[in-house]
Amino acid sequence: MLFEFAVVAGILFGVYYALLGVGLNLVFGVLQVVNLAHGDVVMLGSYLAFEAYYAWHLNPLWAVVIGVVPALVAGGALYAGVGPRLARAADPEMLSLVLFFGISQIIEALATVAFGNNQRSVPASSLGAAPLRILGERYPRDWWVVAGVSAFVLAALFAYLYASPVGRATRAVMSSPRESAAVGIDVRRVSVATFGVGTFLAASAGVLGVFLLGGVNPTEGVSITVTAFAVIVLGGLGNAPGTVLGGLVFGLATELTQTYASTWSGLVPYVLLLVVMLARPKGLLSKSARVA
Amino acid sequence: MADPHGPREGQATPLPSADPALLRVEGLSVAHGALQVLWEVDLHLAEGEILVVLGANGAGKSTLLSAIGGHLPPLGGRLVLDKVDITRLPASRRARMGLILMTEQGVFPDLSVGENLRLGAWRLGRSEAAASIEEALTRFEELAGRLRSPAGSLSGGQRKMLGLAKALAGRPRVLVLDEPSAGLSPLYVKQVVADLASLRRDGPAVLLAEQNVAFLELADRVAVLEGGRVRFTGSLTELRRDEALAEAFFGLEGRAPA
Ligand SMILES: Nc1ncnc2c1ncn2[C@@H]1O[C@H](COP(=O)(O)OP(=O)(O)OP(=O)(O)O)[C@@H](O)[C@H]1O
Ligand SMILES: [Mg+2]
Repeated sequence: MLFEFAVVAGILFGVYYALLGVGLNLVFGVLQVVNLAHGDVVMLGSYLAFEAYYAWHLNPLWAVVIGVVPALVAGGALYAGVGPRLARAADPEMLSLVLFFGISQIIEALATVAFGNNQRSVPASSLGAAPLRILGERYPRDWWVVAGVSAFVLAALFAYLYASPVGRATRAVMSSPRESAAVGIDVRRVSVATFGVGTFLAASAGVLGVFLLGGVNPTEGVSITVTAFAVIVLGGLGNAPGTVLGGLVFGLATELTQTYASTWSGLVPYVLLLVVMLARPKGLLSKSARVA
Repeated sequence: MADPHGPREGQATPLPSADPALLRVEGLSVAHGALQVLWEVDLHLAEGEILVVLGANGAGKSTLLSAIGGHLPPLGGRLVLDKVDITRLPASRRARMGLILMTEQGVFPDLSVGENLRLGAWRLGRSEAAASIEEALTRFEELAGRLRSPAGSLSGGQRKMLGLAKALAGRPRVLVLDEPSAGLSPLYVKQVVADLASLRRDGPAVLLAEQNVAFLELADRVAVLEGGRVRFTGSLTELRRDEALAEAFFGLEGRAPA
């Protein structure tokens, strides 16, 4: 019973982890930049859920919808501002690391001022759903609601990437920026759009994370970025569909260790990261054919 | 050697416009970092014309084509496409104007054959894109059966074919090709030459860099790059008359492995 429970929980959490990582991976795939502020945007999303529930008396899931426009605009505007400077830099990778690290620190400091240092949380009962029964086990309502909303957002993202012209251009840039420019795609505009979408994905993962990650505090950004990074390395950097597999593997691994060796569970992201980096540097889905 | 039925005979008659050149390269100098590679290159390309750029390894052919495509900013000089100065326009703008470069890679390896073609037609409106993709698939039947395969899974020859089909799907006015024969077996080279030959009527103007002399049969004119400068431009007949050059290029033909 314990095993089945861990597996189902691992899948539910895994879908969520895929959402947590996919924005970071999309941005990496298009811009070749690890957005170190990813976790801080997740944190802001959690505060948005907190405010939606306590200040505006809404179902906190509304924060996903409320966040769409501000996240797209703020993310897009940020990249429209810094992108040209990065493109001119002699060492854009280094500059962007420093830049996004700085942004991460600023968000953290501002969040501390705005929300204080305490851990905040939102009760699972606010979601207004009943616990779920699978194979005779009860799973908390926030787990399956979060997994369901995550799956929905991921499905919307893949519809965007595979069925819209902008999405197709996005995947083209992920495959080859130079080739994209050669067919007439404005790589800069695709980058701005992608940063906006990535910011929204992070914020929505934050709204849901206030439940699955056990609340929110202003300093959690860095560890969330590390978790998201582990997920996308598992699935393959720059490989958006791979992120779903990465999330599931990550979810199963953490749930199984939590069940059978809970003291070690904090190590899981780091150990997985190392193992994959050493054994399959291009992610679990990588085949040699893709490289050739 | 030139196609007797092609539109080439009309070339001598003056075109209505004052400047018959569709693409004009004026005094173009280009560097890779601190290393200058091209010195004041002058070239022009008329509507429907095929110009083959010859040159040894390292002569600067790829550099020239990259700069024309907008992937390398020039140190000096000008590029004019249909009387519009495009020197400062980014590659994507040039492509949307119909100046399409088939890079050495030529395809999006992670995307499917079908998506490569759709992206090739990026600059066109929806219905024109659909028509041009249809057309490309009729021309390159081999691709039609593999629309869903990732381009990265194609053989080298098929990949070149897709690169060409993708470039043509954009209905280029000027098609710029960098060594379409590189890495191909003689059979595929023949096919690529035939594909390009079939474009001649109402086709785009073509600027093509090659080392393989098989492509010379397509050429309306030839330009020879040597050490980053234009050493010669003229017809194939004129090139054959220049002994030193003729030996350099046609001598190679004799030595090339079958
Ligand atoms: N990315 C680069 N960085 C620095 N130097 C370069 C770069 N690309 C080319 N060069 C140099 O520029 C010169 C011209 O190279 P280019 O690739 O244009 O020649 P090419 O005529 O296309 O040769 P090939 O027939 O081998 O393709 C060479 O000396 C080469 O070393
Ligand atoms: Mg070359």
